[in-house]
Amino acid sequence: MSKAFMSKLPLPQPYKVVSRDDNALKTWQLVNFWYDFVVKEADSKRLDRLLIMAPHIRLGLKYLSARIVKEYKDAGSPQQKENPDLVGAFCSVQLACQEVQKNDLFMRGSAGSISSFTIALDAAHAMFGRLFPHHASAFELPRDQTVTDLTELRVCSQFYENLDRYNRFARQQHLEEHLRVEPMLLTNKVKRLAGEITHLEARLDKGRKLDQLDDDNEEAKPQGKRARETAVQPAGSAKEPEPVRPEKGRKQGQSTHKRPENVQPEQSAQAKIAIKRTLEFDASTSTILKLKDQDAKVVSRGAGVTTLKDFAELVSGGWLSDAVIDPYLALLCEQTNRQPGNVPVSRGSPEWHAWPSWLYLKVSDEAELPRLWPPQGFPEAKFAETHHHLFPMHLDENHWGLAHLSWGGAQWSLDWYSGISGYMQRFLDKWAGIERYLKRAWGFRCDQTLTIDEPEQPRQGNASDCGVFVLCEARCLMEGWPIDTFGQGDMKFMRRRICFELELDRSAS
Amino acid sequence: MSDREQSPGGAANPEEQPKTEHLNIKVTDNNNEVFFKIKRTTQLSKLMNAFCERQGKTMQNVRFLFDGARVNPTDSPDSLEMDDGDTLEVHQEQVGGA
Repeated sequence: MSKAFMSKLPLPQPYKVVSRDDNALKTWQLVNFWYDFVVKEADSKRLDRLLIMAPHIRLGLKYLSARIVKEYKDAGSPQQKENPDLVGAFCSVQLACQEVQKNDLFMRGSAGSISSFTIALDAAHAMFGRLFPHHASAFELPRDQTVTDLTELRVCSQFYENLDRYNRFARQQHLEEHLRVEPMLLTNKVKRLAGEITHLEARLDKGRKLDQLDDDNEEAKPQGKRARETAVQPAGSAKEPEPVRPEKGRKQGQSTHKRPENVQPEQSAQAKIAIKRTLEFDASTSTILKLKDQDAKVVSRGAGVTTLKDFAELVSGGWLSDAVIDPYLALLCEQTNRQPGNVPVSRGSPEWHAWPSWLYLKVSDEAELPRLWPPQGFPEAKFAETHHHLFPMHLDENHWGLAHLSWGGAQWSLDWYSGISGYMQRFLDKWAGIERYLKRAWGFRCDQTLTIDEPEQPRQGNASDCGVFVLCEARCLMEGWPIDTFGQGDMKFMRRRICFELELDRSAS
Repeated sequence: MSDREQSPGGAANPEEQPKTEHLNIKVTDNNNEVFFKIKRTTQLSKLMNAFCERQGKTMQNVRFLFDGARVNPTDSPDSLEMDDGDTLEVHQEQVGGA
C-alpha cells in the first residue's frame, strides 16, 4: 500500500542554484537531510522505498554537483581547508557516492546507474580541489606526499576508496570506458593511505599519553593548550608553501618525538571537530533546526510565514501549525492547477482552491472578507466554477481535519476527512457558519440539501499526526488516488517530504 | 468601495484627496484594541512587535489578518493598500495533532 503511495509521488522539483550568499550551508543541509533519510530507510531494510528514492537521489546529486561547482570551483580564496563545514559537506558527498552505489546495485543494470555515480564523484572531485589545493587534481593522483593532518588523510582515503569502488563497479557493469584512474595505482593509493592513517593514529595515541603525563607533572591544562596552539601556527604555515617539506617533518617526527607531539594533539582535536561535524551533518535533521534562531522566516508563500519552529515540529513528529498546513495546501493547489489538462485556465477559475484555516474564525460575524476570493492569479474566478474547495478545519484547539467540497456535475457534496473519527459533529457546527458565509459572500448555491459524508479513510495510530493526515488526504484527493493510498506508516516519510517540498518552493521563488 | 461610488468626480480628479502620510491602524484580538499611527511605508512588523510586547505575546504564536488574509511582517500599509482606520485582526496560532 505505502509503496504504491511513494511511487506515485512526483519527483521534487530541481534545486535552483541561487546566488552564493543565499546560505550555501542550508542547501547542503537539505540535501544531506535527503540522504540521511535514504540511509535510514536503507537501515530499516525498506528496500522498496530505497528503490523509489533512487531517482530523487540522482536528481539531488545533479543539482548538488552543479551547486558545488558554482560555489567552490569558481570561487576565489583557497582558505577553505580550515572550514569544517566544507569538510563535513565533502564527507557527505562521499557518503552519497556510497549510497548511490548501494542503490544502483539494487537496481542492477539501470540506465542511470553509472551516470549518477559519475555525478557524485564529480561533485566530490570539485570539493576535493577546493579542500586540498596542493593536490593538483584528485583524478590524476598527485605525486606522493605525506600529510600530517589526520582529517585530510581520512577524507583523502575516503575519496580514493570511493574511486576504487567506482572502478570496480564500472568493470562489473562492463563499462571500462568509464574507468577514472588506472586501477592498480588506485588500489595502491588506497592501501598506502590506510597505512598512513593507522600510523598517524598510533602516533597520536602515543602523543596523547605523553601529553597526559606532561599535564600531570608540570602545567595546568589550559596553559598547556594555549602553548600548543601557538606552537601549531608556525609549523602549519611553514608546511604549506612547499609540499616536499612535510615528508622531512614526518621523518623527524619518527626520530625525534618532541616537536610533532606538541603539534598533533591540536590537530587531532581539529580532526575530532571535523568528524563530529560530519556526524552532525549526517544527522542533519536536527542540525537544520538548531543552526538558526527559531524565529527565522523560512517559507513565504502568499502571505504566510513558516518559521523554523514550525519546521522543527514538522520533522520531529510534533503537532502541525497553520503555518505549515496553509502554505502546503496552497502549494499543492498551485501545482495541481498548473498541471496541463487539469485546468481549463481559460475559464478563469482554478480547479482546486484551499481556503485558509482561520476561515471559520472570521465568518461568524458574517462580514465579507474581500481578499479571500478570487484566489491569486485568477482574478476572474467564480466560486461555482472552482469545482474543488478544501477547508482545513481546526477543531477543539487540538485537531486538524479536512473538508472537501466538490461539484459532482449535478450537485455539491461535502466529504469530511479526519485522522480520528468522531469529530463529525464538531465539524458540522463550524461548517454551518462557513456555509452561510459562502452563500452570502460568494454566491454558493446548493439547491438540494448538501450531501455530507465521512467516507472510509485511513485513521491515525497516535495523537500527533492529524495535520500530516490532512495534507496526505489533500494530495490523494488532488491526484485522484484512492484515499487509503497512504497510512500511518508513511507519516515519517511524509513529514520530511512536506518539509522538503516547502523548502524547495521557497528556494525556487 | 462605497467611498468610490459616492464620489463620481473622483475619476476626473484623482488627486483630489492625496493620501495622507500617516495612517491610524487598529489592531484587535477581540478582547483588546490598540491603535497605532504609522507611516504608509513602514513595515508592519514594527506594529506587530509592539502589539505583541504590549499584550505579552510572542510573534510566533499569533497571526495577523487583514481583510481575511494573513499579513507578512514585511508588508506595509502601502503594499496592502490599507486605508486610514483599517483594522488588523489578531488570533492565536492553530496547532493540532490529536
